[in-house]
Amino acid sequence: MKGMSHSSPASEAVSALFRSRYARLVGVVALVSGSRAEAEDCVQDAFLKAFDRWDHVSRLESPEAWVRTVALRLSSNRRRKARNMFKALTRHGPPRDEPSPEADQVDVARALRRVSTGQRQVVVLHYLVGLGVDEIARELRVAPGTVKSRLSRARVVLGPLLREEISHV
Amino acid sequence: MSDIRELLAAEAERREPAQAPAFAELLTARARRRRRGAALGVVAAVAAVVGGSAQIADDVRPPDRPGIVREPLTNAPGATVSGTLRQVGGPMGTQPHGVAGTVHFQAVDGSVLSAEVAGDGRFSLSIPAGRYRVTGTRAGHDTATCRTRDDVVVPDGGLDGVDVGCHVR
Repeated sequence: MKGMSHSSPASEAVSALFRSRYARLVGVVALVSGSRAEAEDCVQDAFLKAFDRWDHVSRLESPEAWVRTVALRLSSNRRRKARNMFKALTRHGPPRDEPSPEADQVDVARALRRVSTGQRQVVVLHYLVGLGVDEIARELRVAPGTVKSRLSRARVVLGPLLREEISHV
Repeated sequence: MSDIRELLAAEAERREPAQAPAFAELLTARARRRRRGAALGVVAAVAAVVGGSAQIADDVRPPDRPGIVREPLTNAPGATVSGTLRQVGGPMGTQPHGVAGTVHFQAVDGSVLSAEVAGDGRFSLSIPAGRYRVTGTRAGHDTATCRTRDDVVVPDGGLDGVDVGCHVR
């Protein structure tokens, strides 16, 4: 691994990835974390880590997936370490500058809040990102059976709340 | 009612930030945080020790100081220098091994060029030929506890094998 300046090829490659994927990744992580601000912090930190390890990350099939995995892990770690702070923040609801949610958005946000972080992760990765059980298991470093059980439990909670029939995996 | 995929996609999109910072700004902010942390660490070290001990702390301080205009690496012409940031010491039986962090090359005129070092400890940067005091900071540490045995003289043709040692107990 080599050191990199702010204008090295690695920096330019990560910058390009950052420009094209940042907003989307923040949206995904925010669905899991419940906080856009926290999601932005985690995604930014994940991109910095990608920059530090670009020799490795650039050789992966999907650098975006690597950044997403790291960002989700950072988000989980933060929540584990600062659970009390998170509770205080969520009690205050979303920031005032965010647009008023539509009815469907309220349903989704409220429903997601009813399931655990681990369950939110698999729901988002499966239904939003489109990953299969095995892919999610690899990304989250858990057993496929764990992914299945989390999806199953999440469906039990989310199905009625979203008034939606969710097909089985 | 919409499909859950559509609901999640809409919710994720709603949480996407309207604007993204430039990646270069993230790198700059991180460098600033590290400098500030390093400076605070040095202040604490100097306050905690006296006499010769204070001199040692000064020797290993990273050469970054607020207010000093740095030469951007993009404008740094000349020789390629590569080497390893290596942890030495630790628990019995621990072999020297590369570590992530940052290395700093301070020229005789006080200007400093820094490079990020990834997990395997290898770094490489392009700097003008000359004599440098080389220090390093391990990732996750605020103070520069790493340095070369002696000042490094970089010839026009470049230099390989610069060994920046981080001695731990």
